[in-house]
Amino acid sequence: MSQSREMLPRESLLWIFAAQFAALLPQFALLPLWIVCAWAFAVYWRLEVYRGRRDLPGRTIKLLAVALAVGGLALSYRRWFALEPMVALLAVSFTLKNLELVSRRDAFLSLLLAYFVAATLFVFEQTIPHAFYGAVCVVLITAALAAQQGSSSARPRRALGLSLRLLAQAVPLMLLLFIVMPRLGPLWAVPQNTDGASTGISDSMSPGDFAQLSKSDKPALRIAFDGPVPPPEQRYWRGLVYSDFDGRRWSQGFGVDPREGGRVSWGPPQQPLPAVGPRYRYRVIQEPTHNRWLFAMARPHSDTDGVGETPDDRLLKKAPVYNRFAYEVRTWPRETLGAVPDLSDFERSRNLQLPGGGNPRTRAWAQELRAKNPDTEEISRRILQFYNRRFVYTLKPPALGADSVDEFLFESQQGFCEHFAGSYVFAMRAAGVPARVVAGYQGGEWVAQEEYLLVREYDAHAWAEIWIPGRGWRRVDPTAAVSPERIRDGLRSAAAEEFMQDSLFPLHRISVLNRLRLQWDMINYRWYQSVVSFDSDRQRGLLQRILGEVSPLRIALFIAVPLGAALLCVLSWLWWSGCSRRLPPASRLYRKFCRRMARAGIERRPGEAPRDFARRVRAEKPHLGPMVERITAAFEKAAYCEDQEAEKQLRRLLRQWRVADGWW
Amino acid sequence: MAAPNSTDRSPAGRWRDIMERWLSRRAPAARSVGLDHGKLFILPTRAGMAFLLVIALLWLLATNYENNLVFALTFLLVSLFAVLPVHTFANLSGVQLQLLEARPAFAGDYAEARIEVGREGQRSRERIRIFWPPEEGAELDLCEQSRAEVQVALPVIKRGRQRAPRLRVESRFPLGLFRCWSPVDLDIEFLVYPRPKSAGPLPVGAAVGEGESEQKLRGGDDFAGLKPYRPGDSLRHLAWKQYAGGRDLYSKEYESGADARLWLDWDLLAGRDVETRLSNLCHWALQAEREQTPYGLRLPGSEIAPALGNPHLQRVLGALALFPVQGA
Amino acid sequence: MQKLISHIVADIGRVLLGKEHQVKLALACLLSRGHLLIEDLPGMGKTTLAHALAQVLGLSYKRVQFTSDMLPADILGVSIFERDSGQFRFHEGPVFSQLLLADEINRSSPKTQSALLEAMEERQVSVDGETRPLPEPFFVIATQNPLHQSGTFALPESQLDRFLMRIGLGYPTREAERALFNGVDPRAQLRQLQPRIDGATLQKMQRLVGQVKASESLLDYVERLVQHTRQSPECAVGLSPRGALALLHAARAWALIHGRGHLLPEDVQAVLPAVAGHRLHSGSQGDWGDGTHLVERLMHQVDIIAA
Repeated sequence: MSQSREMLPRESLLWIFAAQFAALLPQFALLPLWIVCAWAFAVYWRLEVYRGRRDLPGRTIKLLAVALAVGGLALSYRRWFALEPMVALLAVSFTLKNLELVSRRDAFLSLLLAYFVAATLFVFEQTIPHAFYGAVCVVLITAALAAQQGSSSARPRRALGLSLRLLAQAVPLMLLLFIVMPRLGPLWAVPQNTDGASTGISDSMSPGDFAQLSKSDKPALRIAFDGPVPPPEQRYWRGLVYSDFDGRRWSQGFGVDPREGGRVSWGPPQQPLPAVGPRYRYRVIQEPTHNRWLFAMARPHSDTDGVGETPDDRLLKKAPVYNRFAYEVRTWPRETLGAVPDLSDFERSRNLQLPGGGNPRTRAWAQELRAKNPDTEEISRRILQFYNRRFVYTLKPPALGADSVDEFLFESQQGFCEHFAGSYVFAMRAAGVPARVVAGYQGGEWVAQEEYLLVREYDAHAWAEIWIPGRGWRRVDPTAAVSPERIRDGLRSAAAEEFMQDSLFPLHRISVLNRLRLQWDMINYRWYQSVVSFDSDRQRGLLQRILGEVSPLRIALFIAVPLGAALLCVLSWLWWSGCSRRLPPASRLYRKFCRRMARAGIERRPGEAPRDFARRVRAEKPHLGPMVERITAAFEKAAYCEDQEAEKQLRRLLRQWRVADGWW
Repeated sequence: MAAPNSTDRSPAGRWRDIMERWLSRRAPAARSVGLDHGKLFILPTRAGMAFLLVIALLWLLATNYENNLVFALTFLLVSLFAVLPVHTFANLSGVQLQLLEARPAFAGDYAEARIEVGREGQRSRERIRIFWPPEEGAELDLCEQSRAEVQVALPVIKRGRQRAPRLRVESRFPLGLFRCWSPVDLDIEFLVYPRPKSAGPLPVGAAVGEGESEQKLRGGDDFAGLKPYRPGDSLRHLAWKQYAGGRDLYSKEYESGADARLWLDWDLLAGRDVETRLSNLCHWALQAEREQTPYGLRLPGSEIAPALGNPHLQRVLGALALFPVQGA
Repeated sequence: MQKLISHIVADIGRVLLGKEHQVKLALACLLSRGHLLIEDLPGMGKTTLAHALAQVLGLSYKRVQFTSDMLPADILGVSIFERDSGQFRFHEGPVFSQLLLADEINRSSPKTQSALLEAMEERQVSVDGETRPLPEPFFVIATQNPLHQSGTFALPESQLDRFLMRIGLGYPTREAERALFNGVDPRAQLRQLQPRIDGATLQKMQRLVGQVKASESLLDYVERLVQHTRQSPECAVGLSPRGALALLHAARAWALIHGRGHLLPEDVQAVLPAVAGHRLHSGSQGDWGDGTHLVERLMHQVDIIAA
C-alpha cells in the first residue's frame, strides 16, 4: 500500500478533527474535564505539527501520555467494570491516536473509531434530539471518510453532499434490516450506566420531599391502556410502601428490599390470581430512575421479563431502571379478589410499629378515638373529618419541630400529601389499626385523543392503606379529605397559586405552550414505542401484521423482494447511465461482429468505415469475404437507411455465422 | 497479445500464466479500451475490512445493551457498506482509455505514456488512479470535462522495444472502503534508448564524411537566396533593400560550405562491450544535438547521414535502441 | 439521374486526367450550393477544371484574373453615365455569371477579396445603394497559390469559412502525365465538351441533395466527429456550427453523386478533409496549410460506430 504512507493533507486533518469533535461533544458532559483538555491539546499539537512548528511526539512522550492517561482514568473512576470508564477509555485512545495521526491508514482508523464513539452516546441517551445528533455525527464522519479521498472530495459541500447521498441511499435497507434482523438479547452481562443520581420518589419520605418533587414537570410515566381506563379517582400508581417510622422519616424498613432478603416472586404469581379477567391491562413506559421499583395499580401482575411482584402488591425490576423501561401490567382491583388471608403476626406488628416516644397528643387523641369507636372504619372516618374541618392543603407548610405529628395535627394544620398521609398512618397505628404509607404517583394527564396518560414528577403522591380484617388492605387518601380536587384534577388545580412558583417562567399557564409540550411528549412517546422499545416481541408483532404469518419463507421473501428490486434498479441505472449509451441495435450488432473479427485476428480501426473494413478483411482473409460483405451491407442498410428488415437480416446473419464459426 | 514467458514452471508462475491467459481473453490488448462489467473487479480494501469489524463491534454493543438506536446505526453502516460497491463500480464503469502516445525514454529512466481518459454519459467520475502496480501513477477526476489526459510513468531498464505490463486502473471512490480495478492492456510499447554514458568529448574530426554525401547546411556565410520573413528570423538577416523597394519582408538565407559534420562511429569505441558503446554513442548524440553540431551515426550495417534537429535525434536514438542485443 | 452525373464526371475526367476524386468533390460542392477554393501550384489544371465544369453543366462562365491593383468595381460592376439617355447605367461586372473563376484570389488586395466574398455569401451585389441579385445558380471557384509564395495576401480565416471546400489538385498520376506527353491536349478536349444539363436541371439536382437521408446513427457520428475537433488537444479551434452544417450538406451531395438516397460514414469521410481542412488548424505554427493532414488524423481517431 504505497498510498497509505503519504502524509495527510490539511483538509484531511481538519475533517478528522471535526468528526472527532462531533462524536465527542455529547460525551464532554460525562467525561472528566482532563480528557477534554487532553483531546484539545492533542489536536493543537497535531495542527502545530502540520504547520511545521513542532515534531510528532517521540516514543517516550507517547509512552508518558499513555501512562498519564491510564493513571488519570484510575483516579477518575473507582470502578472499572462500568460504562463510563469504558467510554472514557475509548475517548482517551481516540485522543492518543491524534498524536500519531500520520498516514491515511491512521486516518481511517481514527474515523472508524469515531463511529463507535458516536454509538456509545446512544447507550446513555435515546431521545429524539440525541438520535438526531447521532445522525448528524454519522453524516459528518462519513463526509470525513469521503474527504480522505483527495482534495477535490474534501471541499465541505462536496463531501457532505456525497455523505448525505450515500447515507440516504442506505436508509431503505437499514429500515428493512431494522425490522427483520433478529434481536438475540444480551450475550453477556455488560456494565450499565450507573452514573447519575436517582430521580423521582426515593425509598424514604421525610417532610419536604414531595414538595420538592412538585417543582418538577419532567415526565415520569407514560401509561397506555388496552381496554377500559380507570376513572381519575382510581389512578393510584403504587411504587413504594413505607412501614417504618422513626419519628421523622418514613421508610420501607428492614427486609422489604430484596437485597435485604425481601420476598419477590419472579415469573408466575405466587398468590393465586382470580379466574376472572383483570380489570385493567396497560403498558407503562417508565423514565430512568436508577431505582428498582416500578409503578402500577394494586393488585398488579406483569409478564414482562425481569419484573417481579412483592407481597405488598408492588412490582420490582431485577436491575435498576437505567434506561427507559416498558412493562406490561394486568391489574385486578383488590375488591375483586376472593378470600383474604389473615395478616401474619410479623406483618401486623410491622404495620403497628411506632417510635418509642414522642407525639403524645396524637397518641392520646387516637386512643380516645379508639375507645369511643370499636369499628376501624369509623375511626378512619373521624380522622378524615378532622382533616376536612380545619386543614389547609399547601405546598409551603411551616417547618415542624421534634414532635412533628403533634405540631402538624394540632398547631400548624397546613400541609402537603406527605403530612396528611404520615399523620394519618401515625394516628391509625396509635389507635391500634395496622396502617402503612404508600408512595407513588396519582392522576396523570391525557395526551392527544386519550392515547396515553402522561404522569409527571409533580404527580408524585403519598397516601395510606389500612388493614380491615376480613377485607384486607384498603386505600385511604387523607389528602382527598382536605383537597378533593387534588385527586380529581391534579396538583395544578389544587394548588394553583403555589404550583411551580419557583420556576423561571410560569410556562404551564400558557395553554398554547402547554399543548405544544404535550404534543412533543406525544412524539417522544411514539418514538419510544416504535423505535427505542422495539424488541423481539414487537418485531414479531410487526412482522405478523406485515406478512400475515411469520414463516422463514415469508421473511426470506420480505427481504429478497425489495433487495432484488433495488438491485434491478441499480443495474438498470448502471446500464443506462454508463455502461452503454442507448446504442441503436444495428450498431450493437455490428460491434459484436467487430469483436468477433478481432478474435479472428482482424481488428477494425476506430476511424475505419464498415466498407473499408470489409475490403481489408477480404484482402487478409478471403474465406471470410462473402460473409463479411453481406453483414456489412446489411449493417449499412440497417444503420444508415434505417431499414427494419435489414436489421433483422443482420441479426440472422450474425447468428448463422456463429453456427458456422463453430467448426472453423 | 502479451507473450508471457512460459519458461517459469513454478506453481506461482504457472498461476500467473493462467491468469494472464484468462485476462487476455477477457480484456485483450487494444489501444482504446472501455471499462465495463466484464473487465472490472471489486473487493473491499483493508479499511473496508476494518469497517466490517466496527460493524461487528457495534452489533455486539447493540445486542448486549439491547439498544435499538445502536442497532439502527449498525444497520445503517451495513447498508452503507452494501451501497458503496455500487458507487465504486459505477465510478469506473464506462470509463474509456485511449493510448495517445508512448514516449521513448532512456534506460534507467521513466518512460511515459500519454493516455486519454474519457467517460460515457454525463455521470462524473472521480479519483481514478492509473498506474503500473508498484508505481504511483496518476490520479484524475472527470467532473466538468468529459475527457482528460494523463501521463503515467514506468521505469524502464532494458534498451530496446519494451512491452509495458498491464496498466491498473483503480478507484476507491467514494469512501475508500472498496477498491474497484481493471487490469488494462493498452498495447503500450516503449522504445527505450540506451542509457547515456559519457565517453569523453565529441569525436570531432575523428571520422570525416566522404565527399559524395556532402550537403549544404543552413547557417553558413554564403548568401543563398531570399525566403519570406517569418517571425523569429534574425533581424540581421532581413533583406532591407527589398523591403525599401516596396516588397514584403524577406530574410536572406545563408549556407555554409564547410563540413562541420560529425560522425558518431561504432568503430571509434572499439574495445568496449556492446551496451557501453551504445550508451556512449547515445551520450554523444545528445551532446552534439545540444551543441548544435550536425552529426551522423555509423553502426555495423547501418548509417544515418549527418543532420540536426529533433526528428534526426529520434532517428539516431531509435537506431541505437534497436541495435540487436548481443548473443540473442 | 445517376447516369447523368456519371456522364458529367466522365466528361470532365476526360479533360482533367486522373483527378476523378477532385472532380467529384467540385461537383459535390456545386450541388450543395457552396463555393470552392482550389489551392495549388500554378499549372496544375485549376482553370481547366473550372472551365470544364462550366462547359458541361451549361453555365455561363467568366474568369477574372486577380491582381494586386484590382478594385472591387472591377468585379462587381460600375454605373456609368450615358449621354444618350442622360442616365446612369449599370455595367455588370464579371460576378454576374453563373460560374465565376476567380484566379489567384490571394493576389488582390483584401478590399477586393472581401467585395467578392460578400457577394458570394449574400448572392447579391449592392452598388450605388441598389441591390442586384446574382444569377441562379451562382458558383465561385477561386484559386490561390500556396501561401508561401511571394506577393500574396492570405485570406483571413473568416473569409475562408465562406468557401464550402478547399481542395488541392496535386500532381497528375503517372498515366495521366504520360497521356499528356503523348499529345492529349486538354484544351482541345475542352472545346469538344457539350453541355449535359442546363441551369434549371442543376437547380433541381441541388434540391435533391437536401432530400438525402441522414440516419440517427450517422448524425451521431457527425456529432462525435465535430465534438472531437473541438475537444482534441491537437486542434486549436474546433469546427464551427456552420462548418458542421457544411460538412453534412457536402456529404449529402457526395452521396447523391454516388447514387445513394442515404448518407454513409464514407460520404462524410470523403468530404471531411475538403470541408474541414481550411477551417481547422493545430494552432502550434499558426499555419493554415496543415489543416488537411490534421483532419485526416482526427478522422481516424473517431470511431464510426458509437461505443
